[in-house]
Amino acid sequence: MLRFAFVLALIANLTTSLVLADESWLEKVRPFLKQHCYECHGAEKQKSELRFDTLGTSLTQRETLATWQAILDELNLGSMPPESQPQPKSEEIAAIVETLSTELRQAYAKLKSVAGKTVARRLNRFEVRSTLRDLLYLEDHNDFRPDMVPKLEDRNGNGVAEWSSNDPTREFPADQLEEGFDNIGGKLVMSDFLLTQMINAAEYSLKLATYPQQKPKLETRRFAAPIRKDGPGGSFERWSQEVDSSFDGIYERYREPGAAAGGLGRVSSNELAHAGVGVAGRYRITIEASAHNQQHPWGDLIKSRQEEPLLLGLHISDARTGGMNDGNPNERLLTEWAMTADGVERTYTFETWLGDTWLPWIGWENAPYQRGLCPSQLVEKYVTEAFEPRPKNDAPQKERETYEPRMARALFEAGYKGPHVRIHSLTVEPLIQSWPPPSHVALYGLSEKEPVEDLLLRFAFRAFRSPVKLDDITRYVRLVDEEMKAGRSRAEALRVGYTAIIASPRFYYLQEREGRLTNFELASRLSYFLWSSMPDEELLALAEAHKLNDPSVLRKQVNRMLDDPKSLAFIRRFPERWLRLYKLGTMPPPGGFYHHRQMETQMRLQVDAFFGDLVKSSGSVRNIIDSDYTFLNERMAQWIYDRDDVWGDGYRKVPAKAPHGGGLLTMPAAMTATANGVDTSPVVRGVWVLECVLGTPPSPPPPDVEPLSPDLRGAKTIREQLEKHRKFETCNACHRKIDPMGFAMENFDPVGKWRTVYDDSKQRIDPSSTLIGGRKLDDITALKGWLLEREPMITHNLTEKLLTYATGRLMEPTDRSEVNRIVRQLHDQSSGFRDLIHLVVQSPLFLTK
Amino acid sequence: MHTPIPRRTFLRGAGVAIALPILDAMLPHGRAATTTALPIKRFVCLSNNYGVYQEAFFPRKDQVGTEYDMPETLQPLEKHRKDFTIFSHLDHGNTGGHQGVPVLLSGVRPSHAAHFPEGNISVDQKVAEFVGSKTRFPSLTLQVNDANLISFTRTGVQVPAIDLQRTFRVLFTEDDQAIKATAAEKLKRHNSILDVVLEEAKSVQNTLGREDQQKFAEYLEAVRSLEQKIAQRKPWLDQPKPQPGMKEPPQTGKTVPDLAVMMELIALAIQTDSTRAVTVTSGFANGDLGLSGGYHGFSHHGQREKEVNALKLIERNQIAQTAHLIDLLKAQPDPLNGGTLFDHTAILFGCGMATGEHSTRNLPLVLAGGGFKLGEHQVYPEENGQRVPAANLLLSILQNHGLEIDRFGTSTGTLTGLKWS
Repeated sequence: MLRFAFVLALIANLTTSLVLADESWLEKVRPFLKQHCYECHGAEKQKSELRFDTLGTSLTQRETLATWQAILDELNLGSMPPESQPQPKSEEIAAIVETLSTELRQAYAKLKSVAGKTVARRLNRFEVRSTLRDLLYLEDHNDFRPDMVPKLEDRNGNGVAEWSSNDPTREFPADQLEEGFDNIGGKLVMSDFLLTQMINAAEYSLKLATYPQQKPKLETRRFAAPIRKDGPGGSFERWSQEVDSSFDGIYERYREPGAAAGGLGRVSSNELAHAGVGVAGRYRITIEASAHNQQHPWGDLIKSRQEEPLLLGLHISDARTGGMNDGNPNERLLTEWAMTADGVERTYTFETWLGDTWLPWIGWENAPYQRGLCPSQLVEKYVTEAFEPRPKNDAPQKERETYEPRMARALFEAGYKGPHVRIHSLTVEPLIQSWPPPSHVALYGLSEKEPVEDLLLRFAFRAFRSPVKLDDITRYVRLVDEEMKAGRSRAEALRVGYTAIIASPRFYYLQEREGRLTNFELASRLSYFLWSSMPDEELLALAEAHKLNDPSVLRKQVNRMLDDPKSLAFIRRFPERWLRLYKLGTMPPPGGFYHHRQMETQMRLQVDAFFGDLVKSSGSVRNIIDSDYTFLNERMAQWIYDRDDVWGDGYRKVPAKAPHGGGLLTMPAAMTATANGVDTSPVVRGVWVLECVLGTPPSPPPPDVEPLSPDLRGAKTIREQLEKHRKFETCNACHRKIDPMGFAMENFDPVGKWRTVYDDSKQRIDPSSTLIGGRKLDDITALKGWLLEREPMITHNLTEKLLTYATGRLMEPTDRSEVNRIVRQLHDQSSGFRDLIHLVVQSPLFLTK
Repeated sequence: MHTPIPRRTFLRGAGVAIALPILDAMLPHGRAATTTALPIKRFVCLSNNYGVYQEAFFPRKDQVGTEYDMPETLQPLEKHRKDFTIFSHLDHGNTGGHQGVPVLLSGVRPSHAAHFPEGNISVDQKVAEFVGSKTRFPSLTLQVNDANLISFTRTGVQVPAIDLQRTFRVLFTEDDQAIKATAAEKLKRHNSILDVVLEEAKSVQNTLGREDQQKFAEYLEAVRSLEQKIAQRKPWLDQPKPQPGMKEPPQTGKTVPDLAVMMELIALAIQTDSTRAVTVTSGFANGDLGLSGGYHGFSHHGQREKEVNALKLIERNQIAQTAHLIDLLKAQPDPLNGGTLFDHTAILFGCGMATGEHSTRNLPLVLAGGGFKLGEHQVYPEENGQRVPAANLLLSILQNHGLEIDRFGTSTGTLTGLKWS
């Protein structure tokens, strides 16, 4: 507590000293300049046309700032004073460099200042996508997967490439970033190109929301076994069907670590797998299934978890991107059921929305892996009377080819005693009652007679996120009338009107007037903070009733919004921006590992799970640095963490174990995003810790510093190559703060796996370092301990980043005292992350422009 | 030297930042030809995103002038020795590894663009602004197996690139009447929408505070610029596309054949005056040239033999294709200027990142054609404080094109030692 207060006092001190600093720094620097520089850059001579004796301190002037920067650069590079002249002592230089660096950093920050107000902020790409979804009542399976990269693919070889997703913003240019954030008003740029894209996106989305007048033929489809008619040959599934086709058996896991299972262990109708359900809408899916032989005598060869009930899993995937095949990037586990393994047939039901090209399929979640296991092995051991030895290699082909099928037949005819699930039927029942769907009705009304003005008024209210009167929309009504006069249908004309509304700046920009935000402005800011999308009916209603001024109403809304599935946008995007995890995928490691196993998706899902849990349970901020738990699924555990105590596709909370430990900072996502796919750099990771975690970014390096050319053939480790950082004073000044952080993380390779020697050179990794003041950091555990001691600082930085994300502007020195207050209050209440969010929302920094 | 920067000042409210010639020449091709001064120049830039293996690319720095040993990677250009110049020790003066890649054709980093009057506009887009309205495509931004990151408009927008198949189709495949009608209708519709939106924007702007008004000016400018572009596109809808004399080529996905065909399309595009500004970036697909791996992996060679050899093969192919393009252009008469197409087409091979080891110092830059006096190895000062900005080369190219400007991006003047013939 005392330490906490001390750090706060330090921070406060810095604030006051910022206010006072005016000319005083020049006094510190002038004697040095006088002694070492004036001779060539003073009243008598001005070499390179540079003169320092008349140099002032007004750093808002470009020329002055440029000259001071030049002085700093030359000192950093050690090129001034020239070698022929007497050299100042290294401590002197270090002191001057320190002073100048601080002053210049502040000057640059001031130049970027927006006077503490958010500048008119346009919606960024992700926000546009989410808003269009909500505005037009569109449903989408890829709602919360901003990492899904839509591609042009020619899937059927006919020379026509189609997009692999319906994302209307797929051709948008990237948003401009400021400190990793893509929603900073002053930074985001509008261009004619972007505006064209926006208009195209609007037209595309409106078409998606429009449905043909005829209600399509919707019928319940029941698929009775054999459901999967052309499953993978040579599999237990196919062989068992040849003996008994009254069920589809599942004998193995549908996905293997490290090897494509090719669609084994999955049951669905082939018809569905090729085209999907055909019409988008809500469906009820019913499975009739039974479980068998949870406890079984074949444990020597079939390594299943006999103490656990068999888990039936319902999945959905997109027929366009691979249907039932393994490796389909568009796939989701909907739910699991624990089965009683008494062989009794039971019914399992689930309701969900399905896109028109999506299909449901069934898997056995905790099945054993069977790759390499042949029926003949089972027959040899357990059905010995039917066993025949395998034909030799020189035997006739037919004999060799029919061997396993014969053994399989024998196996199943004798009665399969191993564990398995039997699927007896799969029913897909559309629950679409009203036609056309809500999205269509919202656009065109229930009948042609509904006046155009009413429709436009309703649409504009939601699109502009604020009250609209008839006057406000006359220009849109006029546009629609003109289109109809030109011969277009009512629906087409309305679409033109809606497109104009969406292209309008009242949609595209968050409008916030000076001072305290109005109720509607607050509703928007709040929903873009927690949902990255427009306010919903409830928020708009509360705004209309002026209720959002009430802190308790605001608090209730924040809780409601964080519990809503749309908050996945916040859970995904905030860590992505704050910790720069968006860099994931920009420099992927070469080779199949990363791509075929969809590591990137897995890494992001892991962060989602961890951070989502932190928000949901309002866990302490400390858990970000280190925690006694982590989140893993079977794949991540096997491939990165080298653990075999986690199974299943879903991420679950498990105890953290050495050497990986817990916390967010050393998760594979962070370690991959801070490496370049080929090697790791302590400098890059060190800067990342300083910038993103501690909030104390180091000064930029001097110009002309050549990047490292690692010699990967040779004996030099990265530590040896960075020796210059320790040998030279000016380099050391910054690098003694940067490098230790990064060295401690060297045990994590470019994808976050633990290593004790380097891949290429086989040299042992030394993660230790010494901090300023002599404290030794042995390894990552020591680093985490050191960071935990700085919890107040980290919380302060986290709060600033939260505020930046929430308000769309960077925090400035004038905001500091309010941030301090929030941090103090959080500490006093001993509260967790969700409470921090509440404090942010209730803060004047959030409630004013 | 780190030049620090005042706030963004270049936004103009009511005016338009685009050079006048575009407004002037809104006539369809054919009628406009007489209004421009001859000769009509074109610009082509060939690039990659990983730089080059320097030791095999640059001639020895003591071999200045016309008599230099052709380095290993440049061997395919030996037959065109008299028609190209290689520059040593030029760069844009920044650091930042991969972030240097988009800087190639402007000298301005995207993050600094706000502080330059023309943003980080690239050479090809500057040419497009100057003469683009006279051709069906103001510019073509192309790519083969990698992302083209070097073309930027003056508003900082990275121009999206198209692949081989799409290139052929946009150049030569006639859209059927239905598609043309739809396209015409779309332009009309968008125009109406923009009129309404502009009205709305003006009424909103009046209600905003000062800082917000400045930001909003971007929106207004976007709307006006878009209306202008629509007006420019309309006449081209009715013009028939040229006949290429070849069938649509298959896109194999392999860099060697696809890049070769891309060169042919570029030559055809120039010959048919479909465009006068082209950039193309090429990359690597697993299996090219018998190699297995990834371009990024190779580029972090660490001096290992296997990776270095891979790089040399990939780069040599890129140079071979450059030579191929020169061959194609030399073989075709120039219908607009007389002589051959090569005489008035400036071809620049260059990369914004110098080597895969993330250095942006000593950029690979080779200039051919265009009407310059070439055939040499030009070496510029190596020492800090004496280095010459690569943007000077870009300025020289633009002046050669007929633009009457005296600075471009981070240039300090035209490139000394580079003369027009």
